[in-house]
Amino acid sequence: MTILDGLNTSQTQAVTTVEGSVLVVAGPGTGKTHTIVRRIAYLVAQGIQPEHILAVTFTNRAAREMYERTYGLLGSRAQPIFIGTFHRLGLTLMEYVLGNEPLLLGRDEQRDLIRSLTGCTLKKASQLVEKISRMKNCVEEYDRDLMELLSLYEAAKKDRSACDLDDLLIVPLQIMQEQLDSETFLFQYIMVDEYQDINPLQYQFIRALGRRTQNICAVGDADQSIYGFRGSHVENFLNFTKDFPGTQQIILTNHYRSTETILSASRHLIQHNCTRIDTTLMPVKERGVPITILSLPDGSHEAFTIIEEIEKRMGGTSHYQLMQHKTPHNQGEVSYRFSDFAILVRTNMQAAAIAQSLKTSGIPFQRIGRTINARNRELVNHLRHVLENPPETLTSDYILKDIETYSHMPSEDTELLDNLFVVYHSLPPREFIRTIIHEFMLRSSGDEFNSTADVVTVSTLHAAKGLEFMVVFIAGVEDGFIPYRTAREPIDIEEERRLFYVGMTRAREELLILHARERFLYGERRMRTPSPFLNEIPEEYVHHIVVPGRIHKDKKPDQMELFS
Amino acid sequence: MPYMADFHIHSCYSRATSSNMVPESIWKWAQLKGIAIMGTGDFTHPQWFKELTTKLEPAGNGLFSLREAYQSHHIFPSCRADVFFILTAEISCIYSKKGRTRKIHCLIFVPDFESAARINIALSRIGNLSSDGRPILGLDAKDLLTLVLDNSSDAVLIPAHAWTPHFSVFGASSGFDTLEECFEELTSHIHAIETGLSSDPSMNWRLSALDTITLISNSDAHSAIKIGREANIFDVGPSYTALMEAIKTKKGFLGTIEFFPEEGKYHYDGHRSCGVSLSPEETIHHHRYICPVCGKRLTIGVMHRVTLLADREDGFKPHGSPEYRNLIPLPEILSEAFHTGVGSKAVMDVYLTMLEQLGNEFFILLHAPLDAIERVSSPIVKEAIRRVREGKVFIAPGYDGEYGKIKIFEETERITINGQMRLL
Repeated sequence: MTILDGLNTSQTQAVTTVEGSVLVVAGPGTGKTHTIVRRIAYLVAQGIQPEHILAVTFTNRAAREMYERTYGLLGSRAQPIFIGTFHRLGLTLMEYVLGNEPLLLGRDEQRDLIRSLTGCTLKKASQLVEKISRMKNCVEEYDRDLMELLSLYEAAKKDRSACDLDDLLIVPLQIMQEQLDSETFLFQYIMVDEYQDINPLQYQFIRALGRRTQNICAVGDADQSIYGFRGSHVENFLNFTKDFPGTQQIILTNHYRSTETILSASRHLIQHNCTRIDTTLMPVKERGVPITILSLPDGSHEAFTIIEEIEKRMGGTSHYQLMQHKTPHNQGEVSYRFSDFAILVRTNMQAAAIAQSLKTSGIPFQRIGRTINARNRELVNHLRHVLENPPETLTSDYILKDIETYSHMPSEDTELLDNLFVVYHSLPPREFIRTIIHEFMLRSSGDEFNSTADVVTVSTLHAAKGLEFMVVFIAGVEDGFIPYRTAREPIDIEEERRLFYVGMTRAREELLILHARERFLYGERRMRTPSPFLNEIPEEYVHHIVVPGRIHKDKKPDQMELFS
Repeated sequence: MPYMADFHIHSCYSRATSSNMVPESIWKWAQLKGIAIMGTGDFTHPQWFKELTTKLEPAGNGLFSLREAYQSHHIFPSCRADVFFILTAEISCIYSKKGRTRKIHCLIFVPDFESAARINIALSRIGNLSSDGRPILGLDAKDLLTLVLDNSSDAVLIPAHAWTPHFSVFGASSGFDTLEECFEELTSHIHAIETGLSSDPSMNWRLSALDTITLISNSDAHSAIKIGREANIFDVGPSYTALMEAIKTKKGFLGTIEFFPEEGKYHYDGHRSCGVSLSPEETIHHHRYICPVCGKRLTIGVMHRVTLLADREDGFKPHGSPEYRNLIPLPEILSEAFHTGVGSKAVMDVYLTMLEQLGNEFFILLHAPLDAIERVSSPIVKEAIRRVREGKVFIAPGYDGEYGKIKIFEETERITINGQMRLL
């Protein structure tokens, strides 16, 4: 049977164990998506109706990949299978129940609604929206002081027959709880990907679905649970076998992604955690090269060093760059492309700094995991406003000037506008505006992977989950960043370790870890110490490089003496 | 009346480029050099593009003129001539194909600002155009060709300096063995390649695969004085369509002005940092591609690549191939004649005097009577130009980024010729 071709023993077990509750423990690089896709195909081959199969993913990106691969196996038979995120599922269920698509409020519209109810500032309204969402997701206790606002908010939504993103789960959940015997939801085989990351509301949702069918399969890895701040609990994953008695646990053991060195080093790290399922992944690859730990004198060297390392592996990216070098570059067979490289950091602030340096270097890159460019969104809103309330003399020139005076745009946006103007200025003004809106919308989808061209990826550790790269740099591996310490919140050291583990296991061939001994932070120069996690990686897997700092000449004390 | 065209230069917004690469001085130097059609270079760069849309105006023939407000009047009357601009850009495509890293520079030609802007919009979706006038994109050269043609059906793409080791379509380090491997079913859209400084047409004639390809030559100048060090000669009406048609059909394309290929930076094999320069023979048979100094793999030059890919003996000339002339830029000739730096006052004084008295540089190098040259300069300059015209120069070949070293005179000769002058 072709569906099982090429699967290893544990994968085959995971694919063919379809009845009852199943927990598949899928560590990094164990072929998780591959296994899920085959499992779906297997179900269909067993004669299960495609529309009875549900696969819930955590991100749209994961859903898209899973659907494409399922389609590759099943062709049009894949179409009725539901593969999507919790939100997508909720939306579909609501349409099914209500008979039409609900009016969905985005974060901006929620904010405006809260403002109209309270008259508070924009910033305060954003915080309130966030707070309400956390309460509705059972991430936070309901705050008594906010109950009145909450009921006003809910009523206002109801008046407009609108709902927010959280309602997409809450409403179907209520229906399921109220109408236990209804035939409304006919999914008979349910798979939940990244089960370790579900939040309390999603957990309730899954449990409610689980009451309607026994065939529920959770896939995930406790060691990659990194969304505690969104209310996910690694315990949900560990408790699955208790929540669903009779669960068969299957552990995927073969690791296909990283070299033996990277895998062993990351295992030593993660074994310092207590809350986990102990599994031993078996590397398929050879030992490979040691992990490089680069100690830099100063944080400002970080991006430069990374760029140098990328250039070295690519054999140089410009004549200019080649001429700067005294030693000959590698002239042998080179096979790297830009998309083989990723630079991972703990915070968006660090990612922004790295991105700036890459921009200067000319190396093409993309930032993922960034929130959608707020300024772009404002510009688009403004242009829509102009469309709705056009001035009497609306011309292309007017639009350009209007935009320029309206906002302090970053240069790349002005440049884009210049080009748009050259091409489209002769269009009717309204068309011209629509073209601008379209182009800016196209560029503001922050977390999409661009597939037409190769680029180096700059990402936070969080957003890198699920991705893999030939060469991974983790920058700023210093105490305070990794683990991340803030004055506001207590540190969850195990979650921080998991996050670093996720970062390390993104690398297929090479892992380079950088830390600086000094860094300019929050307005002053600070001494930095390497992350304590680095001590948890045995020396046998590591190659240390210490870049010396510039030797400062002693200040001449005798100059002062002249005046004394 | 035949005229010269230099399509490939870089603006002041490119890496390691002189600040004098602005429209005004490019326009001026084109006249001093004797170039009638100048590529703008770098139209992908946002600031340069803005400058071009401000300072140039469409001439109605797919070419552009410098607006009168920006034209300087301080140009020797002997050199004054019309100059048209043509919109060009160079893209560095860095990607991986068939398991190897490929780095290929491509020239793009477009007939109007709208086409350029459309291409800029499309490219800015996938990369960063503002950090360098020659942007690096992680884009397959074939995909670039598709994107360019999608956005302007009149656009033309030509592989740049096609033989240089690191960044070209036939380059030893990261190129291909044939155009087809690179452009696949779109290869029919590739009508020409740029031979680059380190190769000349006769080297390219050794590949029968290039018989239908037009061999163009440009300066790739990073400063104004280097404009026109290589160039193309056309005999068609000055228009975008006519020029591109001539490149496609070779009709009206009379040939090129070339460096002596030995002078180019990548003619031979070697290691710049190790001071090692080797002929292809030596690299293969004596050193087996390994540097005798550092033990790493040698940078393989243009001569070597041509030898590897050639299917004909040296000296073969395909029927109907356009002619070419090897030349040395006049400032370099003067520098060798006076045995002093190319940017020295002695060289510049004589250079400017010659331009003023005789006419543009190409006229001086190609056509000016030797007696007239001697009259405005000196016997040694006359003798130097005579020898360059006859190809009687010695050049230590360039290698691994190091330009070749020109030698026109032996040390004793220089004294003799100068002595004769003194006697006269």
